[in-house]
Amino acid sequence: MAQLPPADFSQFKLRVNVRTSVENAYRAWASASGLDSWFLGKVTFTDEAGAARSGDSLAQGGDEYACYFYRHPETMAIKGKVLKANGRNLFSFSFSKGCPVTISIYTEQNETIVELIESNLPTDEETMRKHYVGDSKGWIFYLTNLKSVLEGGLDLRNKNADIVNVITH
Amino acid sequence: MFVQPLPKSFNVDNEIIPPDYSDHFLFFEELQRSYDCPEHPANIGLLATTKGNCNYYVNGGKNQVDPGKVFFISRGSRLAIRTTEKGVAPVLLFFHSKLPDLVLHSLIYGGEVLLEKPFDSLPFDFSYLERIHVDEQLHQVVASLLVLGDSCGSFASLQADMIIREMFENLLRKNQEAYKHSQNVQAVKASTRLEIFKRISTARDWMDAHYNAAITLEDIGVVAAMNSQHFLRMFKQVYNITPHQYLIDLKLKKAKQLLESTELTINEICQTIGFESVFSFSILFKGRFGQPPSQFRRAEQ
Repeated sequence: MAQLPPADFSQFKLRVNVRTSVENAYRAWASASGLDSWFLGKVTFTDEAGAARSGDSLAQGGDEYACYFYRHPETMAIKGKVLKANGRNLFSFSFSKGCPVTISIYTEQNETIVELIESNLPTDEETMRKHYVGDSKGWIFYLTNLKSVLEGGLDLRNKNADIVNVITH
Repeated sequence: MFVQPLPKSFNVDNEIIPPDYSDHFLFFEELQRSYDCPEHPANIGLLATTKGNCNYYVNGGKNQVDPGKVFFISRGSRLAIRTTEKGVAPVLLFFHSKLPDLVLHSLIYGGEVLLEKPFDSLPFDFSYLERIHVDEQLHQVVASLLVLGDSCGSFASLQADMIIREMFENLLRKNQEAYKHSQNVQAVKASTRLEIFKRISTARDWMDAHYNAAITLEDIGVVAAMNSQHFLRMFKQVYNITPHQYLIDLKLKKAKQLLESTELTINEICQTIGFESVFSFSILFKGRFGQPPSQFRRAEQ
């Protein structure tokens, strides 16, 4: 039997189908108000001159972003840079450990597909376990929440501060 | 970050070099037996307990840590842990060995120029912070990592890393501030300067925790293990104000916070912060913040 090629743990790809327009899906990624409605927590974008963008305006390549925990708004969850933003269907930003996350949005079978690729992940055993598994698990929930929010308006994030250790935040 | 139970010993195979951590390690266990970890060189980290008192021996000195306190240990210091009580729950957070490098690099080259030249040559000398910190907030943050470490929550690991990173940046800033203050101590030997600074800092922490009680200079001198007059001179040397001025300022800052965030009356606030006279409180408050407490509150509303 032919040997399988070695698995590539330096990147992963996730896709979710969403019944919404490509434009709406793009706005959900590229604007602070869009991200606030379904992602980790409150997001701010600042342009290259250091000025904060308003909630509804679209981020541009070179912007910096900061994301604060939904449940601990005083603590910054992550900060990074917008690497590419074409204003229509491609949005890329640096994420955990500076690894790029690229979002491509396109149509398939009359539905909108949001495709996420996180790449350049470290592949030594310890960090691989943590980042490949940890990040892909995290994105699976948030992509599901993106679909839920965009399709029906139901936010699946846990809002009960007394409940911890659940996948919903 | 990895969460692990307490090991029998930290680095039996290597008696000289502190352990090298490839990630943040959080050691935690609610002990059902006595625990005696032999002395060994430690990595940079925080030592705490979520339940009961835990004795951490650092460079031969005993430090009894209870919930609400955190001991900051510098890389290379010798650590032993001894506890005989059942039910004690020690928490030891050791930072990723590369974290000091990464944080320093990003703070120096990331647009935030934090460090000044005298400190550049001492990037790994965190000894100015090496003592017990009475810091409920820091303790809570360390305890919150236990929840995150065991959590199946989405991006829990990422959140833990960011919390640790932020915590470390704050510690680095505190260390830099401590270093600057320590340079005010007029002592020939660096070790003497450091020792005096540590005693003064411990006393200042104690004042922070007891600002609303009727404490005397003698009480604070005992905490600093110094003659009260010597303590007064040293405190003034380090912080450029007297302990009395420092205490008054603490009380006034607390009063301002209470005026902003509570419905307490000015009389109640005055009692809470340990002032006997509302009149003298109002005068001092005006002197510090430019308007009397009543006017300050009205402006806030």
